[in-house]
Amino acid sequence: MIKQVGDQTLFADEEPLFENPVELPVEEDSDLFLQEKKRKKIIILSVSSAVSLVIVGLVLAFTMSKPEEQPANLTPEVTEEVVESELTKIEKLVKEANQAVDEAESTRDQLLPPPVDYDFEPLDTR
Amino acid sequence: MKKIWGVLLVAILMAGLVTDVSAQSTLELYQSTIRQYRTTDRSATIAREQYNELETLAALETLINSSREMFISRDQTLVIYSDLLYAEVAKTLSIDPSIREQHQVNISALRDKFKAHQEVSQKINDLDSLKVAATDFNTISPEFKSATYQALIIIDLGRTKAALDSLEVLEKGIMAEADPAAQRQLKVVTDRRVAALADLEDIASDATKENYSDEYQSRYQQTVDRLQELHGQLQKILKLLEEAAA
Repeated sequence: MIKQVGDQTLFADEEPLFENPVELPVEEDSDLFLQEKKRKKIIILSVSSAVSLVIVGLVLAFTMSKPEEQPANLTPEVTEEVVESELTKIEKLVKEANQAVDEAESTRDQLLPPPVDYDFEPLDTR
Repeated sequence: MKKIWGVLLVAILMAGLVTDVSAQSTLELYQSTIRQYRTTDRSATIAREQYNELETLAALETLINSSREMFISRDQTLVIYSDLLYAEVAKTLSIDPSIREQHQVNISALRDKFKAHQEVSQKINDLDSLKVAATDFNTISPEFKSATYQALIIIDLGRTKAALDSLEVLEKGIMAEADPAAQRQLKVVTDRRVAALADLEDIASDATKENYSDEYQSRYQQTVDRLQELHGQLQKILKLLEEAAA
């Protein structure tokens, strides 16, 4: 009911909004709320499990792929070093063999003995 | 303890260096001494010709003085030459040590004889002492030639063996790195090297056998001729190995 008080229009103080206000089933609401909470929990758990699985999967994939990447990155360097050292070794051997073959022939003349004959015949005839 | 090993290692390395430098300086000393000896030899030859022609006392004095100079210079040259030969024989590590040592003993004995003869040469003051010194030297001369050419044969054989050893080391080094196809190609090189080694053993056997009618000088020349042919083979093997290594 509305009543006019002076210039103001006011609702009557005791006038109920509903004639028969609906009583909320408090107990029934609590069950729903719990169910909702449980459902949310399950969803959160599922999502977190899925995320964990994804993370574990990624970590595993990274770990598994690491040994494959390592040789892929390091092998060329190692091989290069080994090849270089082998080449140096072979070059050294070639040099030594060259030197040995040259020496077998080149310095022979330097080692020839000096002439030692001395002809005394003219003196002996005296 | 580590320091002691370090010092020892440095000492060993220095000793090796000094030995090399010493061998090099002996060769240089020999070359300079032989030049001096040739000069005195020319002077003595001219003096002898003049004395034979002029027969004067002045010519005789010139002959005595120049001959004394030549004899002393020759003895000195031969002492240094013995040192050089001794060092070169010592380097022939591929030769049987007992054979090497025997040659070194022979060379050392000759060195002592030249050293002793130098004292005889210094006493030349007349024609008689000159003849004594000349006769004395002539008793050493054949022994000197024989020992020298035998040592030169050993040096030549040793150097050729060292060259063959170096080729074998090189061949094995290349072989270790080669793929199976290349290894099969290298087998040809191996065969050639083994054949060259057999040739060298044959040459060494002929050059060092006891009952040999020729003098050592001609034996040495024959050995050199055969070794030169063998060195041609070694050059070819080396070329093949260089191509395989490239």
